[in-house]
Order: sequence, then structure tokens, then C-alpha cells
Amino acid sequence: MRDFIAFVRSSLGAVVHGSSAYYRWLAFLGVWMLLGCAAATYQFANGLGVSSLTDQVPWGVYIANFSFLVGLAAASVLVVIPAYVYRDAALYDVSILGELLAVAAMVMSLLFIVVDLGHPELFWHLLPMLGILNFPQSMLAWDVVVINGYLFINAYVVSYLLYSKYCGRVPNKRWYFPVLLLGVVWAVGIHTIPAFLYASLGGRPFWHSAVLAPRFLASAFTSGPALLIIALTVVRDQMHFPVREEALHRLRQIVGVAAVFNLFLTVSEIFVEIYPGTSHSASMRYILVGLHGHNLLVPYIWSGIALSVFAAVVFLARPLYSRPKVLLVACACAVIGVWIEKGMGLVIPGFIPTSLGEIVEYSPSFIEFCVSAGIWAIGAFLYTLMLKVAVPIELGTLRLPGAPNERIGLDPIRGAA
Amino acid sequence: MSEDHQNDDEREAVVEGVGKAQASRRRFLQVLGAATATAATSQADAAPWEEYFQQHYKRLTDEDKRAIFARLEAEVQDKYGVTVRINDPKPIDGVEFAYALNLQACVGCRRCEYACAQENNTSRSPEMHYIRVLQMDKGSLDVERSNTTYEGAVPTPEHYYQPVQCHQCRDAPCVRACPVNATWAEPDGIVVVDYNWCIGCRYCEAACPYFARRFNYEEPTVRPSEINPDQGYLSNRLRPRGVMEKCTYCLHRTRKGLMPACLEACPTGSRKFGNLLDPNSEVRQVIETKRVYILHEDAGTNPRFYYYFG
Amino acid sequence: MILVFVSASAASGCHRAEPRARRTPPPSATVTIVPRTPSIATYSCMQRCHTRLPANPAQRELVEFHTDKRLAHGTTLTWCTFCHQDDNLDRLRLIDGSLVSFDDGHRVCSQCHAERYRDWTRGIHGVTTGSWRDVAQRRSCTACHNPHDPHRTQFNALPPPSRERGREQEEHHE
Repeated sequence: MRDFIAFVRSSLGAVVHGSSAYYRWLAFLGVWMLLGCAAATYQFANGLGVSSLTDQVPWGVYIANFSFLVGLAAASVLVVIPAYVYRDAALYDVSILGELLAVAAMVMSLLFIVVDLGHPELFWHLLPMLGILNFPQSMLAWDVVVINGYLFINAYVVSYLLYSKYCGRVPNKRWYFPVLLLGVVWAVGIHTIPAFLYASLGGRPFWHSAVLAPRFLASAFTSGPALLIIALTVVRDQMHFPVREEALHRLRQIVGVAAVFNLFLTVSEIFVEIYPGTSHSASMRYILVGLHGHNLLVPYIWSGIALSVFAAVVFLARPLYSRPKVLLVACACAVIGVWIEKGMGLVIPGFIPTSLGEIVEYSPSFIEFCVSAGIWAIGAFLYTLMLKVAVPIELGTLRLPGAPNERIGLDPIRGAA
Repeated sequence: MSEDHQNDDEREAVVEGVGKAQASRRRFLQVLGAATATAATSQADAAPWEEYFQQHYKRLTDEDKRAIFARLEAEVQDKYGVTVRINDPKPIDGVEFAYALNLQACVGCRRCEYACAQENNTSRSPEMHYIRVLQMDKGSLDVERSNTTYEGAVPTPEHYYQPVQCHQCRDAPCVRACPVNATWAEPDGIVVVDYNWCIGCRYCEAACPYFARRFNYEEPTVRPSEINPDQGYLSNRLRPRGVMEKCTYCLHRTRKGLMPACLEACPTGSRKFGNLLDPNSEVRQVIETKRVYILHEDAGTNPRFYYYFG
Repeated sequence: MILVFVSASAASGCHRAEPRARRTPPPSATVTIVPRTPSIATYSCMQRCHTRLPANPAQRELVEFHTDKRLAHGTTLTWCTFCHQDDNLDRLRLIDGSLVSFDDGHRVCSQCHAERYRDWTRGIHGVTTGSWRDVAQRRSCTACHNPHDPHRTQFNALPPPSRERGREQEEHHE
């Protein structure tokens, strides 16, 4: 217990001390967080009327970000599997960063759901026994379960690993490995359940597609590791955390395959919708060329496609990806491309035209923009603080007084034996 | 006030399953409520907490309901200065409501839309109509080609008209979608919403293939003089902000034997309503003798709403 | 944790919207036909006028009386006496010569419009209001259709809800 108090105290100490760049970064995020909180408070006081949502388009930028963020959590499982199942030492070194990214992504997903509710204060209606969770009928109930579960699994595993290492102990496999494996299985749910949330709606032809879940998986395997590459580069350059080239190389391979596959699935979807020209293709026509003169999303979608294509080309061409800066730009493009495609590009056209053929377009209101930016800032803030604790523990510099200052568990299998 | 409700044909509490667990849960909430009530300095301060911890409709006892109805009536009295009566007629055994609509006869005059708004106390600003009348191109059943903002003289020679409202589906996607069971199908087939249980996630609205559900993005506004005082707890009582609402086939009327307001308002007799289980009812006659079709039948919703030509 | 989910699903499963077992339906509504005579403005004076001026059964162009009545009801029904009894204007006449009240006007219509009439008796065509269970009121044919000139007329629709959220940007599309 005393060790744990020391752990908390050391963590707080690590978080509050940093370079001026670190403080500037936190201050920058703080401003956005304040703005977001103010906007969220305003929205809570005045209702969702302050959004530009309508009965025709009842979901907007919040649910769009939610869909994207559940995919971002793939950064975790894609380092955990190679590191723990295939014993890849390079990825094992950075696996904790991937898991922390998943924690931040899950927190943001949950926040985006909460701000989308008309009555967030009535959340207790979702709690089993006290309220009623419509499980297993409602896909949204499934979503609540898988997201909270995944958050819990990842938070537990990283806390246990970091705490053990802080105490100078080799993490005991018995205490974390089963949960870690459960997380790998759970990851299947975290990427398919949100897809089923949409695909299960038979009245929305744009979503009612079997390829939606594979698309969610492919885009998640693109955006998650791509963002992790960026994060690893920043951590390596700013916090002097040794990241092996093999780790970046392995991640780039994953992103490359996933990005190409994601594009392929997108093209398949577009072809099936557009070529036969059934009435169900209206939503696809709306985002690609506009519908009856309504074309608000057209430039947005095409820029997303362009970014994804550019990223895929870079990931495939050695002369391009071998330059670190180009690779970073490509990763950013891949993330933004997926954010567009899986976010507003997926959510909004599902409602346009409505099931009665009405066309009401949507773009987020100022309040929605501020709330969304605020939640992203919260996620980035959380991730930064978690890294600030995790990196020195991983390096062996942050330890319980008296514990050996050496890196632990380079080889998880040997370490656990 | 509560004496009024004693004679009211109150809906039996459909408390299913674990009665014990629910009783203890209710006790827990009562204790919680009592604790907050004693903490509050005045009686008035207790009301928000009672409202906050109000249980799901199906878990309420008759006594709970009386208290809630009285509270809601008092709130309307305070806010609008209007005396309303909230009742809760129960489903009738042997009755399953259904609607049939004659597309040959409808002229698209929108009388039903406005009668519905008036009857059901839907918000006037922002305006909310449960019924959408589609102006359809002759020669097509494709709703995507329809127009819902037509004005002027009707019917035009090039069009026919198709009003759409909640279809009270047997396999309702909205009911399945709701994460908290705030919306469900009653034994007489009416899909209702517990306005105090809905958390406002709008998944049901996304799931509905008939654009039948509406969300109160803003505080609904109805002029006091226009409030319909005959209110059903599960239908036309004044709704709070941030919850879903929808057509209930005017259950506060129809469960008392009356016709829905939209039918009464229709000048063309296009609307037919009745008990699907009664072979002599108008809806059954329509289904048995006319050629009937179902909107978006491919969505697998099995609605209790039929379109016919006659 | 899994146990919690299972119990939750079992509890919520009870709330699944399954209608209960049915008992026999309550008896059907009694249908009454709304009488036409109280709403025919000229009903009370028809017989009186024509007592003084006996109806001229000859088919001709009307220039003095009834000039406002355009008779445009198909090709068969070309003169007053097809439906009206010229020596008893309180009554309508059927093709076989028997007389019926204006309240039974639908019987006159039924002679040609047999199928419509059958639909009307079943409540498929026409306006039925009141109660689906107790007593329903059904309008007779001429409550809606002008027997002299039964073509459909246009009238103005009420406006679409213009203060609806999102309506302001919505445009009519063809």
C-alpha cells in the first residue's frame, strides 16, 4: 500500500515537471479543454438545440468522432499481438504506448457518446439492475459494454505493468497475461460492434452492408498504427525514449497493408453502390457527386480519398517511405483520411436522403466544433500525462526508492518465466 | 387530484420478472430519494430529485403513477396556468390496432398533420409534425422522388399523395435499438416512449425506416390556450426537452374507443382505423378485399400500417 | 462480469415487445349512416316550390331556374328525373320507380356504382368517424360527392411545417 502511494506520488511528480515545450503543449491543450468545457456546459444548459442536428440528420460530428476513435484503439492490439504472441522485442518495447493510446481513445469515445445524449445526467438508466441495459437486443448496449470493457482491460494491464516495473519487479504473467489475451479477443468486438451498430439498421441502405465491419477493421488498422508511428517519433525525439527502427518498420508494414486493403474495400463498396444504380445508391451519389444539387460533403469526401490514396502510395514505395519526414506526413494523411471516411463521411450520408427521400444537409455548429475540439484536447492531454509517467518507468529512471534502475522485461517471455 | 385517478382506468403495472430485486431497488431509490428530500430545505426542492430517480414506467406501482401524474399536472399548472388531466388508459384485451390508408383518395391537404399537432401537444416552435405527407410522382412508388414541401392547390394531375407516420411495427427496429428500453410495443401494438426514461441517444431515430420519430432538440413550446388538456402519460402529455416522441395512434383517444385525431380530421375518408383482430373492422375489410402494400416492406419491420388503392 | 451481463440480458429480455396472448375481440362497432336531409339547405322548400310550379319533365336547357346547377354526371344521367321524382320532390327514385328518402340517397348511387357501394358498406370507401368500437358515423355518398357534378375539385393544402428544425435550408427537389 505504501508502495502504491509512492507510485501515485512519483507519477504526480513526473507529470508536473517538464520542459518549457511540455508546459506550452499542456497550456495549448488546456485552452482547448476550457473552451470545450464551456461549450459542453452551454450545450448541457441549453440542450442539443445548440447543435445543428435535425430529425433528418440526428447524428453528426460527435458520433462521427466516436466511430473514428473506436478504430484508433487498434493501436493497442496491433502491438500487443506481435509483442506478446509473436515475441517481437522491438514492438514489445513500445507496446505500452500503444495500449495507452487505446485508453485515451476509449475515454474520448465515451465522452463523445456522453455529449451526444439529450439527457447525459440520466446515464444511470444504462446501469444493469439499477436501470435497464437493453442487452443483448440493442447494438448500442453492446457498444457500451465493449467500450467500457476495453477501457477497463487496457487500463488494468498498463497500470499493472507500470506499477510492477516501478517497484522494480518483473510483472507476473499470471496477473496480466489472461487479461491481455482477453483484450486481444475483445479488440475484435471493439472494431466490429460499432460497425454492426450501423450495419444492423435495415432502413439505412448506406450502412446496411456486410463489408462495413471489414472496412471498420481495415481503417482501424490504418489509423491506429499510423498515429502510433507519429506518437513514437515524437516520444523518441522529445523524451529520448529509444524506439528501434524495427518497431517503426513493422508498424509501417501493418499500416501499408491495411491502408491498401481499406482503399480496396472502399472501392468495392462504391462500385457495388454506383454500377447497378439502384435507388439505394442515393447516399453514395450524394457524397461523391452530390444529389439534386446538394453537395456540401463532396469536396470533403474527395479530399479524404485523396489523402488516403497518397498515404497508401507512400507506404508502398520504398524511395518515399524511407524518408522519415515523408513517412510522418503520410501517416498524418492516413489518419486524417480515415477520420474523414469513417467519421462524417460515414455518419452523415447514412441520413441523406432520409428514408422518406428528404434532403437536409448537416455541418457542425460552432458549439459542436468547440465541444469536439475540447474532447480531442482532453484525449491528447491524458495521453501526454500518461506518457510522462510511463516513459521514465519504462526507461528505468522512475523507480520506487531502492528499486534497481534498469529496464525490465525486454523479452516478455523470458521476463515472465 | 388523486381521487380523480382512483377511478381512472389505470394501466396495470406490467412488472415482469424479478419482483424481489425490483422491490429492493425501489426501496433503495426511495431511501435515496428520502435522503435527498430531507436534505432539501423545502418540499419544492424534492421534486427534481423525485423526477431524477423516477423508475421505468413498467416498474412503477399504481401508487407511484398517481404521485407522478399529480406532480406533472401541478407542473403544467405552474408553468402554463392550464389545468390538464393526465390519464393512462390501458390496452384492451383482444384489440390490436392497425391503420389502413387509401392512396386513391388522399389529396394531400395536410389536415391530418395539423390535427395531429393540436391533439398531441407537439411543439409549435420549433414546429414538430408526426405525419409527413409525400407528394408522389404518378407512375412511381419511389419515396426518394417525392416532395414534402409542396404548397398550393391539391391534388395536382401529376401527383398522388402518401401520408407517412409511425407504422407501429411488429418487429420495430426502434424498440430493438433503444439501449435502455425507453420505447416498447404495448400489447395492443402501439409503440410508446417513456419520456422520463429516454436518455436521448437518438439511435431509435436512426433505426426507423419511416422517419416517424422526433427528437426535442429544444424546449417544446405550445401556447397555453392551445394545450389539449386530455393527456395520456404515454402519449400526448407535454414532453420535456431532450427526449424522443412519436405517433401513438392517439392512444389516449383510441383506447377509449375513439378514432385517432388524424382520421377525424381527414376530409376524404382516406384513413381507416380499427381492431385488426375483429374480422368486421374496417381495416380487416380493407386487407381482405383490397390490394394492400406495405411501405419499405424490405426493411422487415412488419408494420401495422397498410396502404391500399380503392 | 459475464454473469452480470447475462442477468441483465435476462431482465431486459422480459421487456421485449411481445404482445400478450389474445382473447376474443370486443364486438364490432355499430355503424349509423349520418342522415343527409338536415344538411340539404333547399330540402324543406323543394316540394313547396314545385307545388306551385309543377316540374316540367321535358329535357331542355334551363334558363330561368336552377341555372347554377350544372349536370355533368356521366353519359347516362342527363336529366333531373333520372334520380328525382318529378311529382314528389321530397323523395328520390330508383330505376324500378320505387321511392327512397334523401337519407337513403346511397341506394340511388348504388344502382350504377355497385362496387363502390360495396366498398362503402364495408367501410373501405368513404368517411367513417366516431368510434371504432361503439357507434361509428358513416357519411353518405352525397356528403362528399356532388351528385350533379361529381368531378374532384382542387383546394389548397395547408402549408408544410416551416418552423421545423432544418426546414429553412431544405429545398424542393424534383
